[in-house]
Amino acid sequence: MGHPDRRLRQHRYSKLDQINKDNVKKLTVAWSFSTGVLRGHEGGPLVVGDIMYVHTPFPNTVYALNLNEEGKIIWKYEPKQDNNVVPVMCCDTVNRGVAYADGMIFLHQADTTVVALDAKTGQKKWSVQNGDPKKGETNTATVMPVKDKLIVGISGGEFGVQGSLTAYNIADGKRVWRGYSVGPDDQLLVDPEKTTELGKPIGKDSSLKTWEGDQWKIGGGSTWGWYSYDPKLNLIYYGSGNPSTWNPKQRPGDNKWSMTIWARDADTGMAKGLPDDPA
Amino acid sequence: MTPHDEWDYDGVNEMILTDQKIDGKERHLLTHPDRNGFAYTLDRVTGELLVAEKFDPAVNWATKIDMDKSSKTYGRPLVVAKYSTEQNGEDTNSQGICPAALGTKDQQPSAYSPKTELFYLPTNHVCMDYEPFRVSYTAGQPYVGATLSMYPAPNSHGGMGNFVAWDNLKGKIVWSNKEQFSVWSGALATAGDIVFYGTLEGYLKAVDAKTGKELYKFKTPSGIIGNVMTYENKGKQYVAVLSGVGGWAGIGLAAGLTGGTEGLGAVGGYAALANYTALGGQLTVFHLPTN
Repeated sequence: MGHPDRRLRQHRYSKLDQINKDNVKKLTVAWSFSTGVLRGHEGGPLVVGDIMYVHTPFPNTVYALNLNEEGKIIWKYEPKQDNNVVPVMCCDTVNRGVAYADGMIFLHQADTTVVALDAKTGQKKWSVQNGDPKKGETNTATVMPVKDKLIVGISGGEFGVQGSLTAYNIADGKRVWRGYSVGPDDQLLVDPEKTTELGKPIGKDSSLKTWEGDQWKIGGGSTWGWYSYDPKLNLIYYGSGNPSTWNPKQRPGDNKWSMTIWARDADTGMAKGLPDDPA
Repeated sequence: MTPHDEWDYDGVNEMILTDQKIDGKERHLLTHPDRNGFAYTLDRVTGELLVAEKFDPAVNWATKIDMDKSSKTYGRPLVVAKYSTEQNGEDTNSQGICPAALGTKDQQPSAYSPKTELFYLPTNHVCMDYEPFRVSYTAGQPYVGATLSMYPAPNSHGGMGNFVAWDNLKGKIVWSNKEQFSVWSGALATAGDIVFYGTLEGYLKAVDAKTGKELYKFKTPSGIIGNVMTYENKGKQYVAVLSGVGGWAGIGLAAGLTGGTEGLGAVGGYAALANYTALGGQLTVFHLPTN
């Protein structure tokens, strides 16, 4: 859908113009397809060549549909997931879709299993576990392929997770880096002198200083939204979620770096700047 | 953006990267319409904060973002005491906070058209009461510690959503279409000068990118919280969207909840959705008839 560069920049704009403001009133249904799953369907289908990839909420079935045959099913992937993941998903069992790179379709399941499927056959090439649902770590987001890496986030701000962003090798699923939203500098992947916030270096222990004791360990800052990438700057941009708990009295301090706009180097994960988090 | 959060305004919404001219000079920008109701425009090379303005006039928890570089609170929101759940304290119900926890917008991604240089934001027009309480942590158990209830923004059009065209350089709403429920669907802008989005009742809508005038709507089998997309196959353009009501806004229907404060406070406010749609899971593909 759209030019890959515009997709990485999150424009959600298409140059297609056959359907326009004068003729859109004539739009009609060409074909439709039941996903076989109820509950919230976030995200959207992905078209690569003549194949449309359609995903569902939990249990995160993926269909490859042949666009030359009004959506005839080419293959179907049905993950086997423990039903116990459903009660630890805060806000419905949604999933925001699959991504494509290097002949593979990538799915990040509710139980935080990341799988790479052969785009033509649906055969599993590799899989990796990104989190632990027993601790309330789940997934609702899509993933973002960047060069030779797959960028993966995590949900669970309502369960006291320690939020992070992780990069895996697209080729084999091996973990390359993980940067946490809250915690000690080495876990954050920051340089106290070089990583800046509103133009100023963030300094040593920038997150630890803003939490009482070791509350940062259950401090949230999940990363379940959308990720963007600027190829020229080689930077990944994304935002971190709420600090845990929702009761602010219980966690004195600024609770850094929850609620922050992050810019990370795609190759190393090092944070360049936290451009907008005030405080 | 929201240091020491008191309202669950996650910072996870999309970061839209554009190259636009400011005072004749090309700048590399990042535009981020946040849950907290402020849309931020930054220089994505230096991190400099250029614009931070409300994209829904109902937003009341903060008066503004401090843009004075010499100020101690530079870049921080100036919080209104009455709506501070921290200052009001535990077991006190802070009422009339706008936006609600699900934000002036949540995950539903915006679109940007380089033709109009406008951002099209699917938004929530919802306020809340928020009562924090003490909670203890147990691994794998909810660690929430607040009771919420949500309702349409008071003294407004009565609906729970708007579809907004946003100027990220001026920090101003260009046009805004009211919606009965939150627009929880991702927008799509095209070179055909139209913008598509879905509604919780199940409509796929197309509007004029310049004016917001509604040009087309079609009711699909279930509420739309999916993102509209378009593609070409054998030289012909199609538009596709997933229906299937749910998400945080539709959690009442999705999970079969009826208590007003259930679903982290969303069930009561969206109860009327049951009069318009029901659960489903369907892809609908649209095209122009050939003759």
